[in-house]
Amino acid sequence: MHELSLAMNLIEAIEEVIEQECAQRGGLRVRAVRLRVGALSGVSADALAFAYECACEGTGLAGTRLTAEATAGSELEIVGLEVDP
Amino acid sequence: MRVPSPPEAQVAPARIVEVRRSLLKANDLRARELRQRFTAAGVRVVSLVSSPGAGKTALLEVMLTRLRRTHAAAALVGDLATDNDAVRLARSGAPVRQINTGNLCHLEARMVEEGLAGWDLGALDVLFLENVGNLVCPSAYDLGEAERWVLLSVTEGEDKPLKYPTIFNTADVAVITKLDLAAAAGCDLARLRTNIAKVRPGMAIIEVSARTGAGLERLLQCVLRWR
Repeated sequence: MHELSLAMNLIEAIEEVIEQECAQRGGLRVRAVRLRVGALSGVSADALAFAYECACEGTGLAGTRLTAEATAGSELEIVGLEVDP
Repeated sequence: MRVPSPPEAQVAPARIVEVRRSLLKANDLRARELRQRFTAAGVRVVSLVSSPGAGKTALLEVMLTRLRRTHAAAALVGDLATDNDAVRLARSGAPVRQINTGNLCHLEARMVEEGLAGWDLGALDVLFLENVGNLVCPSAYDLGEAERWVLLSVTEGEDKPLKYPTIFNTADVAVITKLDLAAAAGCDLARLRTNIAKVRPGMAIIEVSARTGAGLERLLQCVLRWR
C-alpha cells in the first residue's frame, strides 16, 4: 500500500549512491537495481517494481529495472546496482 | 516490426556497485534517535496499531483518564484527516496532538519527531502514539517506541491474526478489545488466542473492554511495568 513512498525513498537512496560513486570514479549509468524483499516485510515486490517505474519517469533512472530476490525474513534491502562497466 | 535484440555477446556484463543497506534506513535512523531521546527523558512510549474501528481511541481515552490521576501521560494521534481523535482524547485532560498524514497510510519516525516539536519529554511519564488505522503498512515503520501493541476487536473474526501475520510479528502485545461485545458478536475467544499464538508463539495477550473497564488494570500495569 505504501510502495510508492518506498519507491521514492529508493530513488533518493540510489541517487545518493550514484553521487558518491561519481565523486570517486566519474560517470555512472545504472542498468538495474537489485533488492531483497522479505516475506515478512509487508511489501509486495511487484507493486514496488510498478511504483518504481512510475516514480522513475522523468528522472535519470528512467528505464532502469528493479529486480527483487524473495527472502524469508523481514528484510527490505538495497543489495546493489548493476551499472555499465 | 520487431527490432531484434542485440546478441548477448555485444552487451558487456554489468559492473556491480554494492549498496547493502535497508530501504528504510532513513526511518530506522530517525527512530533510533527518537528511542534514545525517549530513554534519556525517562518517558515510556507505547504505540497502538489496528484496523480502523478496532477501538484505539476509545481505549486511549480511558487509559489517559486513569493514568492522569497518578502520572503525566500524553498522546500523539495519527489520521489521514480531521482532528476528531485529538479533540476526543483532549477531554481526558491530557496533552494531545494530532498528526494528519494526508494520504499516507502510516506514521513515520519523521512525523513523530515533528509532532513532538516543543514538547518537554522530560515532564512526561507515558506517551502513546496512535497510528493510522491500518493493519498492513505501519508494521514496517519503527517509531522509536518501547513497545508496540496491536489491537483487534472481538467483532473482526478469530482468523484475523492468520490473515495479517506481519503486524503480529512486529508487535509486542496483542490487545483484544470490545470484550463486552464478545458474546453478542459470537466471538470464540479461545480460538482467537490460539490463532495469535500460531502466528506469534508466546505473544502477550490482554483482553479489555474500554466500556466496562474489564482488563484495564492489567493493561495499565503493562504500560507502567518498566518502573
